[in-house]
Amino acid sequence: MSEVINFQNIVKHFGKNLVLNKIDFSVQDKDIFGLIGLSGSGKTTILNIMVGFMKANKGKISFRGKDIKKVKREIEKIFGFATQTGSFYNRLTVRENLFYFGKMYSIKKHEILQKTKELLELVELSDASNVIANQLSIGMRRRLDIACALLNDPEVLVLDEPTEDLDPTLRKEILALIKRINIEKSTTIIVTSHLLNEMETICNKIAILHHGKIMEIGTPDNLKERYSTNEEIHLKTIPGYYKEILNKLDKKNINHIVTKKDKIIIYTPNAEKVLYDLTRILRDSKEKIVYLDVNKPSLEEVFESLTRK
Amino acid sequence: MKKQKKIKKFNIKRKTINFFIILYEIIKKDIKLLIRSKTSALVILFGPLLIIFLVGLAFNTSSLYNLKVSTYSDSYSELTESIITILSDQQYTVKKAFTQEECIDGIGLGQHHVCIIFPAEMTIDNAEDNIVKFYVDESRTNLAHLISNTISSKIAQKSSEVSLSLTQSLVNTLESTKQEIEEKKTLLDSLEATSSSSRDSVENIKTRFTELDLTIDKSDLNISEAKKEINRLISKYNYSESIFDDLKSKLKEVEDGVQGLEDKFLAVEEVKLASDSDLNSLKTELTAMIGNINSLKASFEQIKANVDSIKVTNVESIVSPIKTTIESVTAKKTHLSFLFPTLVVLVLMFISILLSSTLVIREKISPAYFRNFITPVSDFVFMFGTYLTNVILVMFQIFILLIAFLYFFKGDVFVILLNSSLILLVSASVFILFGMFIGYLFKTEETSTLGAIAVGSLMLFFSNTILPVETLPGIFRYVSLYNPFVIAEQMLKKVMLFNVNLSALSTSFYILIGFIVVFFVLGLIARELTKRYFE
Repeated sequence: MSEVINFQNIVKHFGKNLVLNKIDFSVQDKDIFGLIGLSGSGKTTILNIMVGFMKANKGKISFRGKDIKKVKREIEKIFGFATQTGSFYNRLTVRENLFYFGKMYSIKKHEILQKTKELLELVELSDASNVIANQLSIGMRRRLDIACALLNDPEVLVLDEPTEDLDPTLRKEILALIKRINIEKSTTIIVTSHLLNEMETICNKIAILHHGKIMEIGTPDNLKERYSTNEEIHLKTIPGYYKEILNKLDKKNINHIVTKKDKIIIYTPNAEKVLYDLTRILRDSKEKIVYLDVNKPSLEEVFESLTRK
Repeated sequence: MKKQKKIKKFNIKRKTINFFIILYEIIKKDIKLLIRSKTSALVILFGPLLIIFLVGLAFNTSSLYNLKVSTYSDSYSELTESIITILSDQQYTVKKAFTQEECIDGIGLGQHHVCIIFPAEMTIDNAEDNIVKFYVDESRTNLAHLISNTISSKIAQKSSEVSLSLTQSLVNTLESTKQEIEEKKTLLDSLEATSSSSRDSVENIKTRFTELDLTIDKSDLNISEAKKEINRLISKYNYSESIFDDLKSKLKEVEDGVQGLEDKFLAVEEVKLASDSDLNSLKTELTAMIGNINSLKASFEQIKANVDSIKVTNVESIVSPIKTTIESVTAKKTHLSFLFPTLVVLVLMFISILLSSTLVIREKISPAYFRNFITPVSDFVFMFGTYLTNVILVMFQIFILLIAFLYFFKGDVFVILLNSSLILLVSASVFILFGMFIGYLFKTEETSTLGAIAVGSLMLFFSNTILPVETLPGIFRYVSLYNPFVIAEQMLKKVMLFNVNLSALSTSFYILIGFIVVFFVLGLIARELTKRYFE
């Protein structure tokens, strides 16, 4: 697989504020590359610099081995970008937006019409094609934005927090769509998010960003293996006197426990042993198990462990 | 090689077509967005037209309505009252103030527009110095001058009437004097003739007197010879002396008679001499009288000549030997006629600057800005597209304005319309690009609007609209002459009011085109420098 994008030593200041501190990473062809970080960590800045909307103070970005500054026009033709808040005209209809941006890419009329039809089907907005954009729901607006980003059949699709503010069902749909695009169109996808478990499901490579620095890059499994030793035991019981349960539990094999409103999550490197203890305690108590699950180490933990340093 | 050339040509053609297609789409999108915001569409598209229409109706007059005049005099004379009567026509409301202070202070309080102070018992009299004082509010410069001129002309009218009357009286007096002189001249001639005749008579009398010989030569009478003869005869003939006594007594009587005559002749001689002296005196007096009569005649002639030498006897010509009238170079009569070009350029300037800055800033803060940025369409094309959108919208309004021009000026020529359209298009381009530059410079709609209004107001202040540019000092006047608003306004005035050809305005065109280039470049730079971050 060839390298599509390469960031070398990128530094970006906003006044005295250092936003990006020597960012180095590369994206391979047909990858779904995830940039994970908290809000304000610099994810959107990286994307803006990638497409030339902002200029880096230092460093070099290359596209297929060429300096990105020299291939700006080419970048504009082959990149698609779906923004965090939606980048389209609120007073044009869905169809009008697609038509307009299609013309900006110099796509012929009959091709735009064809593409519009296809994309509206892909993002499931066919029924809302004549709706004014500002009358769409958040999920529909997000899908319209993705459709606009796909108009020019991009080789590289950049998605900035595509599932932000969406309900779980919709998030699932968007993630499925992203995966579908990657598979069906062989599109290289760069996606940012702070929802780590979602990224885990779609990305084949992840860069963890914290305070403007890349903490780690790797595949999800790789990262989890390196940084997360804990498994998660999720337990929900009725009546839910978790304090009593935890008091009785042997803390030797437990790293930490998170008590939520109606369940507890136990982080342990030895899930088997803890489970054995738990079932014994629960059997002896009057607690009735509603939900018991064991999760493999998650990216959240990787993230926490990296960012705690 | 040929194939490569063909492909290259095709690519250029394709690029050109794409360019125009993209421009068209940008314009279409901008107009759609504007129309879908109904409030914006109403305000931006129809607001200016409404302004022009209302202004047109309001200014389509040449009168000065509802002018309030206050007057004061310590004592109103008949002349003063007649002047006030002239002022009290349907246009002016005239009120007499109780005190001078009330009259003058009323202007500052806005109770009236002008205060006129008349001298007490104003009459036309040699001793009088009739000064009528006007008090106006100079801070309302245009109104102050208009009021002063209007009321001065009304009072001048009355003054002129009085002058005419007086002058007529003078002229009539001169005329009657001339006639009198003519009449009396005949009398003088007659008197002169009579005097001359009398003098001649006197001369004749004198001559006759001189010719009068009152000498008696007694020897001619030969009385002594007669006596001698008698004595001879007596002696010769021894006549008796008594024979000749009668003769001798007759001779004696004759001798006595001659003596008496001689004495009388002497007396006559004395009288003659005395009369001669008197006659001389009379002659002298008659000569002097004739001289005086001649002198009087000469004076009368001189007076007549002087009166005749007054060539100008027309009363109006004497009162106003040099008449001035202010003629309009154009045939237009109402305020609107003179104001229309300024109004059009004013509305055009504000529409263009505000519309273009608003469109640019809305595009900048629009969510779609980012997506437009990452498309393979250059800044130049977007900017040109925005410019064309503004031109189309502004030209739509200009079209309506020019229809209004036809309506208010009742079918003036189409050539003027064509030339005006070109000037308005070029001027609009300047203001549009200026507005776009402002839009690219600022970050929010509010600051952009403020900036646009500030710039428009600045151009308005340094123009002929408030005070003539010629009244501005040094550098400001020079700079004002290059104010695009001033240039556009003057060009339009020349075309609309004076039918000047476009070729005569070439320098102004070049300046405006220069502005277009400058503002376009500034806009490109501003767009590049102030790109909004997308976060």
